Amino acid sequence: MAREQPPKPVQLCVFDTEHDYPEGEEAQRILAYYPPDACSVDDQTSVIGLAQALLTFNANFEGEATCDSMHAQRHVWAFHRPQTHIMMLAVIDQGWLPSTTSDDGLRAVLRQAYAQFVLIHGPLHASLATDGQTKASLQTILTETAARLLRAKSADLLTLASPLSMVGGVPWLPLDNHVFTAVHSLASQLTVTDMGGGQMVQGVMLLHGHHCLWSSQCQQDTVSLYRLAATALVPASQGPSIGKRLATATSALRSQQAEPTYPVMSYKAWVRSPDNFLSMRPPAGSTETDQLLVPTLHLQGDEEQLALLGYCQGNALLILLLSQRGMVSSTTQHAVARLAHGPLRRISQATAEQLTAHGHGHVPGFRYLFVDHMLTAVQASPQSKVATLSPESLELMTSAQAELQSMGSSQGSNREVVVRGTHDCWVVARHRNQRELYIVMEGKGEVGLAGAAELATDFADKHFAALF
Amino acid sequence: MTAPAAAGALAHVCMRATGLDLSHDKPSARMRYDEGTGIILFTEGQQVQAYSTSPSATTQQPLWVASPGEGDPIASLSVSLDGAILAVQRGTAFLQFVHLKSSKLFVQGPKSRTRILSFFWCPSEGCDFVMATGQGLELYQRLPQGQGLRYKGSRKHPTTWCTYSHESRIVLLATGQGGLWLQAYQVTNDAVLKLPPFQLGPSASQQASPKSGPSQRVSPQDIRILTIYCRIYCAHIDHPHKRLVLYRFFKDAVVLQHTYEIYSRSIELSVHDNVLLVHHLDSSTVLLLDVRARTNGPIVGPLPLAIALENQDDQSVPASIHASMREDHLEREGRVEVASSSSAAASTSGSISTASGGPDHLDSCHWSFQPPNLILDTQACKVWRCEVDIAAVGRTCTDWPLLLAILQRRHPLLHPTCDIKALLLAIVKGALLEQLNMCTVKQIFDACALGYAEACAAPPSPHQGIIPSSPESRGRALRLAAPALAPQEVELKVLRWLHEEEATGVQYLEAAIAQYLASCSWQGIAVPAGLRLLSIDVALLRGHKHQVVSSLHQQGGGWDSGALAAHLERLARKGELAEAWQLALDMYARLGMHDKHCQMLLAKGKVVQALRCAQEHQVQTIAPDSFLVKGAETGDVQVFSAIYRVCQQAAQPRIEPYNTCKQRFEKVLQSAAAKA
Repeated sequence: MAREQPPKPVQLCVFDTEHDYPEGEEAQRILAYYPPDACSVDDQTSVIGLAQALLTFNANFEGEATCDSMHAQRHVWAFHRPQTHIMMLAVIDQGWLPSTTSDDGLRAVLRQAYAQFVLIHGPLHASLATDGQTKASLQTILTETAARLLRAKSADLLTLASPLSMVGGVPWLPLDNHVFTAVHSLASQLTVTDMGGGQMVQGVMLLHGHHCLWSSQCQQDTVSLYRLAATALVPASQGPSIGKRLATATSALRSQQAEPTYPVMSYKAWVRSPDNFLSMRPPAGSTETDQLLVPTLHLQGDEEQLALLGYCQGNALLILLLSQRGMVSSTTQHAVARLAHGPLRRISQATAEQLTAHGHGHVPGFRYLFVDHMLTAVQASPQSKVATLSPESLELMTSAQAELQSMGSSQGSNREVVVRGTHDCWVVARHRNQRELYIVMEGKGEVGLAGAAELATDFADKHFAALF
Repeated sequence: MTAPAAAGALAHVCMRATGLDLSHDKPSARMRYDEGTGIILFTEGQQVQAYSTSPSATTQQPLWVASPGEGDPIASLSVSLDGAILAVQRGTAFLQFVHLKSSKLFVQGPKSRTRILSFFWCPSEGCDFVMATGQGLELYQRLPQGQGLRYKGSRKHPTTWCTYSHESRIVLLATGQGGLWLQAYQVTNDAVLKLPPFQLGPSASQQASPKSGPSQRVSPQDIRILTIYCRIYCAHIDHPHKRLVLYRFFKDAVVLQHTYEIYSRSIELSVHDNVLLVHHLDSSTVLLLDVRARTNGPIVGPLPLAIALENQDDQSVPASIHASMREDHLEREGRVEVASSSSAAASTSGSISTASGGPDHLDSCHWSFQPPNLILDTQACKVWRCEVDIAAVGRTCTDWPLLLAILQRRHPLLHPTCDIKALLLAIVKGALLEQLNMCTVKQIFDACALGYAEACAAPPSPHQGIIPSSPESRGRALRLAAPALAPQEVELKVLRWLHEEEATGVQYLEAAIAQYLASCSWQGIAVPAGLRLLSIDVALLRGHKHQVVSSLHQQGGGWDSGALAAHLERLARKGELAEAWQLALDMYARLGMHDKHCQMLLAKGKVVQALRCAQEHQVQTIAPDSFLVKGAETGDVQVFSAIYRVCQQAAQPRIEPYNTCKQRFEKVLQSAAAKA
């Protein structure tokens, strides 16, 4: 079917690999597909048919139907199996995708989309059995994920394309002891205080800008929650720019239509109250109330269902997981504000001072990325500094990264790659005990192989003592 | 609830007899206290008798007796600081000086030939004696033979009245009709310093009070100079506004620092162990104030003064004192705070057990209050000291953070019957056992940490303010010995105890530990490694594994200690925290404990890494056989051989030849290879 619209460079889908559907009914296999309207069901089934064929073919060699990625002439295909019998697929136009994007990065996008789904709706298999809205929710997640990539000047795409970005990990901020103890004290104080009407704080996460300062949740929930906070709550807490506010005001005046409802992981769904609370935008036409509408999250593999409330001061964002779901009463709001207002402001100030004192993690002459797989922690040069690297350096970094990962564990747990580009740039990649360190040094072409390794060692000793 | 049990049992301040009791000898004598020498002077006619007030002086014999000749009645007396010369004032024109040993006399009038307002001896170099006149201060030095005074200069200042405090060496001159303008001089060891002038009332204060204008008059009876916590204050008893105002002297400023409400027409002030005692003479009650407390209110509710009865003392109460308690009256007014059961539990040690009701009518003119805490019964010729009963305060005070802070500032030697440290521990423990609000717990811990930090810190530097020039050594000693809870004590006797007894919920305990760590960190106090261990254990009990791992990551080595690394190793062995292996390894590496690091790697079967570590850091403590066994257990002959080569080069004494060695481990190698 010919269409006026150019085809979207990003296609995402989730499909069921368990059941065999008779010919002509393959479309039932599809749980969600993006773009939903731009391509026909036939196009969708043909994409999924090919994916299914690939998996079956691969099963002959691997013993199970699995596949990581495939590079075709015009598209990259990335696969992710979030749970048995469910497959996620991204088909991306190679011409649109920046060349430094890794296949792992694409798979991480799928992984994160699924993690967001689980956080908001619970595990897919359970949800499919009980909730008729599951497919629609899944569709919303795919649409939101694609929209974030396709947006003009998309931050998600930049992150995806940069080999030195912190995608997929939690940027834990090393804290001075006095700040850390203040954070610990606030978090634990919140969890032992009755917030009115039996409302209890079951979990606490604390962010400063995009840095993570505290999480009482398990590793997996921390990663998902951080992702949700970074994409929705942090932008919402910073509030729209003046230009955007003007634009919304005028458009609201022009059309008296109700605003569309946004999904939880979109920052547009969140609103900051005058008392600095972050909650869901109330549905249009609802009556004025001093209670706050908050979403419910599925944590600990759906064992816990808690309400999510945000509270911000300065650049600090406090995320509270509350035992009682639904609306948050004004009593609870007062209790939270009374406990957290002062300490959070001080933490925000102290953290800002610490960040400034340490140059926001920038080390002149070096661009680096530290990944701790044990903790899913990442630490990297500020992205503004990474942006100054030449495309050649990024390409070199991408290939060094691929090389290090392809070495696998056959070489023992310690691996190292040191490469020099044609443009006076050294890249050192190291892997030790579930940790990776990537260092890009531009303009140091003259130091030689030993010199580059030594520079990297000095850097690691100084900033990641005894880890590398 | 412990309501006041027996009459006389409940009092925060008691009067203790000094042992000087001349009620039978001196029915008509005039009784004076000489602050500089701490001597009680009796004048009877033209005879002066001196008695010591020091506790060691048990005899009722006078130190000396002097007869400074005939003349007008003696108006005022002062003994030189070495006790050699007695200065006698009979009129306003001149002073008589009597050599106590030789009874020789000389006379000295002011150089300005004006009225003498006041005079005192002082210990400054080049200035032994100061006369205050309407034109200011005149400084004199004793002649070498002691046969007169040499004029050494003056400090010109128009003066209405003058008051001097020997404790702080401050002389305060009031100017103007109302005496509202004050000028202080401090007589230090080598100079007479002029301090900034100040005005009583709104100009010196931040809060303007409309009524205190020039219409108000200030008399020397309304002004006291107090030394509290090595700080010098000018206390103004502002009767019209029913308040007590404290101005603090600094070298370059005089600042209004505290305003307290008063409830009586006549009050007197004493200071004991840096607690300001405000005697409300109308109601015969005492208010306790601590200038360093965070509140501006009294520490505890007002209670009457009691008399401490000691067994060795005769139990007779002076006839002029009607021992009656006023509790009924006070309770009706709601001013007595009855101790709650919880705070009663907090106080463990007994207070002064035998106390009887205090004097009822302290406002009678024969009671004289002398600095810092003496009370003279000039009618009965008895001398008392008033003392704070800190255990009683502990029983009555219900504001635990305030109480803790106050107790920490008390000196143990001044409260021999009360174990202050036990009281402090009981407060902290009690607060946690009762699961008080975390905000209160935070305040308590903040006070704990502050007290400990102050106890550790050096005494304040002289730049911050004026320090009394003579008794500063005593003040310093008092501060250093102040009871404070060390982090080790809080850890072992409170937090670890609660953990082991499971006396509180784990969640509450975790929060309490976090509060304490934050309080310590806020004061920059180093925390014992045991507390971090406890914190980690409690977090793990709560199932917060990731929180522990991320915290250690965020600290990036800030918590490193051998004890913590060993604890992590233990946790990993027990399987309580899988990540602890790596965390312990990292910590050992950062600490440079390479032998431990190496042993852990070996235990994990990472023999090549272990050997590399041993080689790199010259670890000598591990026998080559340990490496060889682990090498053989890999079942890989290549690995085994490589290990043999390294060991053979490094080990002293040399190990056996390769073939014998291999034979020795052949079985292990083969069985491991077969398994693989």
